[in-house]
Amino acid sequence: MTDSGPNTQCDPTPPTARRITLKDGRYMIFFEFEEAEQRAEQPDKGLSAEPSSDKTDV
Amino acid sequence: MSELRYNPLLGEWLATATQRQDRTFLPPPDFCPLCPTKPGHFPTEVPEPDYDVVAFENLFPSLKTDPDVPAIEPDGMYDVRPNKGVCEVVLYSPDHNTTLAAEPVEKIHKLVKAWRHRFAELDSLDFINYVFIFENKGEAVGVTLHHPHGQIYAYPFIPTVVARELARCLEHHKETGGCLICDIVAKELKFEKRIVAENEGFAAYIPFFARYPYETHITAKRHLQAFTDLTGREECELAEILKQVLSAFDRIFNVSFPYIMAMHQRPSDGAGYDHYHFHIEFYPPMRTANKLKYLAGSEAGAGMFINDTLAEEKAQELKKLVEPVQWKTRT
Repeated sequence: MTDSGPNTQCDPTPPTARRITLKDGRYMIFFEFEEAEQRAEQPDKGLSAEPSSDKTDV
Repeated sequence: MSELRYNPLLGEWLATATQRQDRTFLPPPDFCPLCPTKPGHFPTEVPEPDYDVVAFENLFPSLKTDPDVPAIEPDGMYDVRPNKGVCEVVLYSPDHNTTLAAEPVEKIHKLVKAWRHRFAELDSLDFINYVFIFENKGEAVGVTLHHPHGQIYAYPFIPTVVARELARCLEHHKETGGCLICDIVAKELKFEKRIVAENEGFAAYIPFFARYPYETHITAKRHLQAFTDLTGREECELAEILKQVLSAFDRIFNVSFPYIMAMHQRPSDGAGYDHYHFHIEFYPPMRTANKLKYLAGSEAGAGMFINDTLAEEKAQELKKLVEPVQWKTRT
């Protein structure tokens, strides 16, 4: 029924979670995504389905 | 000042959050606190000039990692707890004027990955028993900021609606050995007339028991309990069917369709929940182009919803508005 996504879109590469602390002490997490085209150029890079950020500090 | 108070009559917790009375309410677009901070402009909550997807602790939380001292002591049957938990805001886009429905499927796919990340992290906190990801969209459901965003509440208890679903799913499992939600999906797929969209991993339907005219459920076909159980392909398939359903919503009355989106996953208390099943529920308040469905006497006072429409007819109406999804990058 739907047009299935291409393989490069469907790999489980998690985003990079860049964490900062705001002036009032709250955390903010910027999710940064490696584009599919970039991944295609880096075929040896390992993939993981788990979050890539370090453990929470909340 | 916030705390959790127990309602012994209904057997559920509620939060008081008096500081939320002062939260930002429908500011003009130039003073949106969720836009990126542009050089030379007023500082928003996001101290960077651009972003893709951002999650952060809510400035006006009802649940806090460093909770308030309750305003009142527990007194016998009136139980009180600190409001320990987490409230996050998830910004979908730096573009103030977009919506989740208007975003390309690639962006929704990124958001699925961000939701997965936030669920995994909050799920691991020992003081959290339930992670609830949701979106309130549109003034009709009470949004105070129009910037496209969702929220996450991580509760120190299992909230009532999910607890009722869990109890029914456990009863069904004991009676039949099966999963109630798997059986509902199978029944809806066999009946066909209430199906709105479908792909290999997910089915979208207006259920037999819909309470709102366009109440739509998106359910994983595979028996799984949470975002962290999704395969890479299922993440894509979820993004696709979200794009299809949300876009179809906007085509019903040619307006940016208001809704509540509620993601129901297993609890985070460490117990086993193999009898439960991940799904997303949408509660849109519109019943016609200019009429809203209100929670009135029977709904609010007695708990019996009255749906002025038939799910079979509304599903067919919505299904006609579903269009194929196109990914920009192809192999």
